[in-house]
Amino acid sequence: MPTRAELAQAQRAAWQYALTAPHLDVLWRLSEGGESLMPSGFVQELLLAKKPAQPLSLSLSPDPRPQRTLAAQPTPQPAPTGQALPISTLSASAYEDLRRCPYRFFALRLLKLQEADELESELGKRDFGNWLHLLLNIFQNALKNSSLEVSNTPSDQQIRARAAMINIAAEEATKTLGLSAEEFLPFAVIWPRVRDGYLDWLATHEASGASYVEGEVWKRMPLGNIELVGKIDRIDHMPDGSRLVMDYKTEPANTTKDRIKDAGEDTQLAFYAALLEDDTLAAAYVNLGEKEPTKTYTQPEIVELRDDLIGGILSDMGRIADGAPLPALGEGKACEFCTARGLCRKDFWT
Amino acid sequence: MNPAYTHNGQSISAEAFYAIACDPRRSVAVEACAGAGKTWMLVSRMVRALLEGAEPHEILAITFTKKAAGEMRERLYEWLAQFADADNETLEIELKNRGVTGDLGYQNGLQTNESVREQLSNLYQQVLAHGRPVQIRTFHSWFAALLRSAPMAVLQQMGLPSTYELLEDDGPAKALVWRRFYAALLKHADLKADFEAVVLAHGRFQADKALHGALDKRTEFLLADAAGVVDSSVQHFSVQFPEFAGLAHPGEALRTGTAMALLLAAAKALGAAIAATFSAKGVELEKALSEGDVAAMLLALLTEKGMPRKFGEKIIGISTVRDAQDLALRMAAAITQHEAWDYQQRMARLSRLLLAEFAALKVERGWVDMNDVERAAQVMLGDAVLSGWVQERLDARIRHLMIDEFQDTNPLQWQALSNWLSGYAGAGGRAPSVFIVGDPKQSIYRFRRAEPQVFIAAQAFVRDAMGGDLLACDHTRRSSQAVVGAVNSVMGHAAINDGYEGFRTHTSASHDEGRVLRLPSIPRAEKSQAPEALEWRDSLTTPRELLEETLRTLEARQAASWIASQIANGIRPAGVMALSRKRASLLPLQDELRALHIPAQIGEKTELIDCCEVLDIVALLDVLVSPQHDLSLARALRSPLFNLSDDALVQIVLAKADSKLSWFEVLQKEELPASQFSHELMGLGATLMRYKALLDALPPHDALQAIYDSGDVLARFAAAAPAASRGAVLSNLRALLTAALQVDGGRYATPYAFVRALKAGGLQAPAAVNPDAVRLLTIHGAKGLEAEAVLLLDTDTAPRNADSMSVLVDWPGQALAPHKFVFLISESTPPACAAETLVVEQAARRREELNALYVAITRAKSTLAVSSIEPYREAPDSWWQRLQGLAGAEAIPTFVGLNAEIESDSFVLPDLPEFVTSNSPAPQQVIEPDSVKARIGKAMHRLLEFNDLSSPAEGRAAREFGLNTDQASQAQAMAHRIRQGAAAWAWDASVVQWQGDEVELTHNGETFRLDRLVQRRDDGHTGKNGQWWVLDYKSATSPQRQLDLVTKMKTYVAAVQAIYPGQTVKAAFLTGDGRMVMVD
Repeated sequence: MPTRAELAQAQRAAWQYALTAPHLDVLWRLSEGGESLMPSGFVQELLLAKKPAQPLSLSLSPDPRPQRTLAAQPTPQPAPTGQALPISTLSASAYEDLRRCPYRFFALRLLKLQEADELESELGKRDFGNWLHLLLNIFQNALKNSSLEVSNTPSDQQIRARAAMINIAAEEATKTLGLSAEEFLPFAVIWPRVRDGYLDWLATHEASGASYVEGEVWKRMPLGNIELVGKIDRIDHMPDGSRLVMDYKTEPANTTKDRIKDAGEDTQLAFYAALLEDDTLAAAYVNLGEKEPTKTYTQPEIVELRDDLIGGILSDMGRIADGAPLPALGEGKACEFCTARGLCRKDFWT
Repeated sequence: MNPAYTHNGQSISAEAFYAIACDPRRSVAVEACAGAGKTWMLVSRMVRALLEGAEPHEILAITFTKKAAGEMRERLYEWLAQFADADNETLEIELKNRGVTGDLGYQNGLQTNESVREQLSNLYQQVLAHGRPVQIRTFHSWFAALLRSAPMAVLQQMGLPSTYELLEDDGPAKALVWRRFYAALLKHADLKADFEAVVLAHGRFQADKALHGALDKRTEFLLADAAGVVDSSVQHFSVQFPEFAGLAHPGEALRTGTAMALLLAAAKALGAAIAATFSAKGVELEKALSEGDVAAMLLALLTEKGMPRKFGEKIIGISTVRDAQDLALRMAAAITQHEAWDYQQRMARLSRLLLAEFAALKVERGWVDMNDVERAAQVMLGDAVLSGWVQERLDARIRHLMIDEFQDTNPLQWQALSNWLSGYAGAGGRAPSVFIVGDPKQSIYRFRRAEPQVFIAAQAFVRDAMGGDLLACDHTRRSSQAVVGAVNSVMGHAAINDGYEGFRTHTSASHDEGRVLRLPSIPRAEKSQAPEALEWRDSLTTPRELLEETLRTLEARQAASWIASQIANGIRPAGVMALSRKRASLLPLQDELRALHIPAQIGEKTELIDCCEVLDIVALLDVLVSPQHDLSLARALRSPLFNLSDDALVQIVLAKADSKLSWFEVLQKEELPASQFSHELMGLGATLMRYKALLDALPPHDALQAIYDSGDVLARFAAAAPAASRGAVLSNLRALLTAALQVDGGRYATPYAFVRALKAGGLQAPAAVNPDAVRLLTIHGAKGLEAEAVLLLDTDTAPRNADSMSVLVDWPGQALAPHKFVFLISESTPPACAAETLVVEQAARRREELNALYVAITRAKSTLAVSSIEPYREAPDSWWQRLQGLAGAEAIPTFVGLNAEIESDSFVLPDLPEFVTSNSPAPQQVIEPDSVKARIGKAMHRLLEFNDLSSPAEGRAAREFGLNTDQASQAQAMAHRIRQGAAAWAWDASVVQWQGDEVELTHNGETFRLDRLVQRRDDGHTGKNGQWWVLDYKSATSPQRQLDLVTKMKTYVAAVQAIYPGQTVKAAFLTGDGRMVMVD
């Protein structure tokens, strides 16, 4: 192996040779990734020989690159119109998009652009949520068709039987969704607690006189020129015959609480209510807690909210059909994970 | 004597201070306040070490970031260049400033001032001539260099892969461990049970947090565990509370006679109390006892917060009740202890598995992370034999070691260093001189394991083991009188009220009066108790707003307005710096400044993949690889790449109609419906196909470059970007090209894999490129920087809630391993045995919080401004509260806009000159069959080139050139005559010291081959020492008569002469008849 001194000597000799060329362009970089760089010692020697000592940042020859003068083309804020793309159906999530940002609605709903699924994505909370929705639906339907359904104050035996039944539903859901055992492990560990919390909730819920009618059910409701569509997690009958629509949530309880509190911005329950023709009905989120027990969060002013929502939808859809602009009104968190952000060009606006 | 300068605790003059600091023979530890000129001292010491004859590479300076290293290097060479050109007077002053004065007789061979001056001005040239530079690097790069020369055995012993890739950012690697970890848990029932217990007790999220904590602190865990510290960090309740020893659980004490008797007596006494609330507790207690319910028993005697309930003095038997409460308190504490112990044991077992899986993952992938690098450095520097060997291999004996920002050193780094330096102890003068400089007040990197205690340990080491000096300086050259006044007041207050140690009053050399002011606090709207009447917000015209965001925006708007007024008053944008603890607060300010057309740049690193323009290009690559990805195509189309309008997108959807075609396919259709936007869609399909063809045919980098060129991509993006971010957009797009070559060693040959690697993250966008922008930084990012005017954002924040599921480590600077490693469930209820460590930890955190404030304030040269949002709950210790009394209130001018700075509507972009490649095919050479004579000549050349005249070689040459046996032996005979003839010496190793056949040379743009080039060896007498000989074989007998051949030879000579100017170059034809014909 050559020694360091030999290598250095060879390098210097090579540099000397390079310097014998009749014409030699020497280039060096001033920075890389924002960190400043020095020219090679050989180049510094050249610069030093060129006295008087040049500040190192000064290049000896002017920048040989031709300068192009370009006109700036500022990026305007978009305000497309949607009358050319009439829609016939509207889902709760589509309307939520419009509420968050009209441009988002334009991109995702009118242009129908959706993000492609990642090939390999980590199993997450959303998969757990899907799994719970599926298994609860299997369980509730099984329960409805079994003899276990009737009792208001279930016996220990009934409770055990229910636990067995829900476990079977859980296994079926796992199989259907093809979840891998190792990735699902943390959820599998927490499942017994969610299950017990749910069964306790169910017993109390039933004791209030509610009875399960149907779950994961598609509903349609014509409204003006369009049709509202949506899949409702669960519909129960109350003792007075009125209906209770419910939506399962697997988020922190505070998030669910905020949905109820900020009712004017919460489209989901109001939209579900709008899918039913009833004028007397109740609507609630059921938070399937991992740490806290399962709990109902009722939206007290659901009928009023529904009426506001219907008015809003009619007005919005009417104006869109008439060519009202759809500006990008989203701000802050609404934009952070918005898939249409690259389309509205928010990052380039001046 | 200036009280701001001290030497070993005594006041000293500034001159004497710098003379000691810059003396390369002394080992020195300097504690210097912000703005005291730490880098100046460090670089001055380098200069003096070089002056005294140190070889550049014998100087090792360690900084904490590559950026700081670059700046230090720049400073050194700038100085050397200045000295090379300075007059005597200047040199004299520069030397004096660095403590070189008067009698220099003692210094290495430097007798007179004049010779020192001369030495200084020649230093630059010398350093350059030396070839190897001064080593200025980070701990990590130095350690990584050590690891590269580590013996295999060390790698094996440490469980590291033998060929590896260094992970600068271990985030992506850490993300991959979980699946493996869970799979391993499924195979170990006992560990799975531990996991279940932790998840069920604390929840999935919290368990995850605890395990992440273990993974982050893996070095500490492994060192502590090896020392048996992890298991013993939380004591068993039977040790901590011996009265419950022998029980499986402290609650079982209920079953023992004495406890039961006491509690029953207390229940009776309480039950007999007159007050109903007291007697109810007696009943509850009795019930709990009869049911053996420990929790209920405790709740009867203690409040939910675990405090003794207040029972009336007049209760008969109150002392028995008190005793029972005492017992309950002890039992509750023991139960907490037991839970903590149980948790500690479970987490320790889980962490061992997790870290083993992480190590296995790294070995599998051939990864080495920075923790491994540090551990390896410790092993190698700690072992005298190994350390010597490694340094031998690095050929780097270090004579001067200098470390900047020493307060940010972590215990492991210090262990490695001190072990290495201790190795010299007793070996006399061989130890390097050590210079460490730092400021414990600026220690803000505890989250990266920096340990301020290390600075104290190092000071002691320098003084005691190295016989060095301790210096301290509290005199800043940076901050105005007002700013220094604020520092003194705030930190002085902290010294008295918060027990902040080590602060001494600062003085400043600045003549600037300066200013400290506060902007109006942004008020939080009153919380209305009654829910507002529902009012429908118009979806199409009114944005939805979130409270916190609005407050932040308001603060940013006010701050932007203030910054604008500063700029209007004449400060350059770059002279303003806005600081925040969190990066998130900087984003709205950037937007607000942009709205005022003030260039601003967030100095924090951004992931390349988070940049809009990079995502645009990635979207294009994505749709070219997966043409069905309509969203990606839409993004690319809307981006400056194609600049399509929304209306044009609508046309695509209309053209698609009800078909299942992708947008990409729609654009390929020949006939698109006619509309006023049709022109935007024209030719798009063809362009996309062309790009796709490029991507299919070329490696990602080349394809991308071709797309950039053909689409004029840089110019398009530059035109579309806001002026203030134009530079950043361009450099990000260029960085993407670079990344295509470099990501993961350039191994991503497919565009799909390249895009995936980008999305995996870990690739930073180039740092600040705009030297004319307002700098927006976090406190950490601002370290070492300064600005005329500094604005502190969001200074009135409520204290953080107690942390949970955290890791508590006690690792004093000088200890080999942590003394304690505790998995804490909650910092509000620590087990008794960890309480003290937690108190120390919390004090260290409070101190760090004050350090951050110190760092923030001391960035300001002239003006300091503070801004805040009214906190949601009282924040008595906030920065705002500490500063507001000192700061004058400032009303914010309502700002209209900088008229002068309206964005210009054109800009200049340097372009690469067109690279002209000749498109016409290279002229075809008409190959006529050579004459027999020519072929014989060629065969002769070949035989000589291969230096093999054997008959097999002759056979090969015959085949190659189509010769018959007779012709081949003619060639062989000529070659033979040349070898044995007049020039036989040219193959004689005793005559020739260098030789080459078919040597390729380029001269004046012409490339040619020399048949043979040799250099003669010294023979003393012939005078031919080192002569170069160009030798040309000719089958012709008299080549010297052919003018063209002679001219050619003269060119050859000139070419060799150019390489070795000053040496003799000769030339000769060697002819087929064995003669040597000289060419003059």
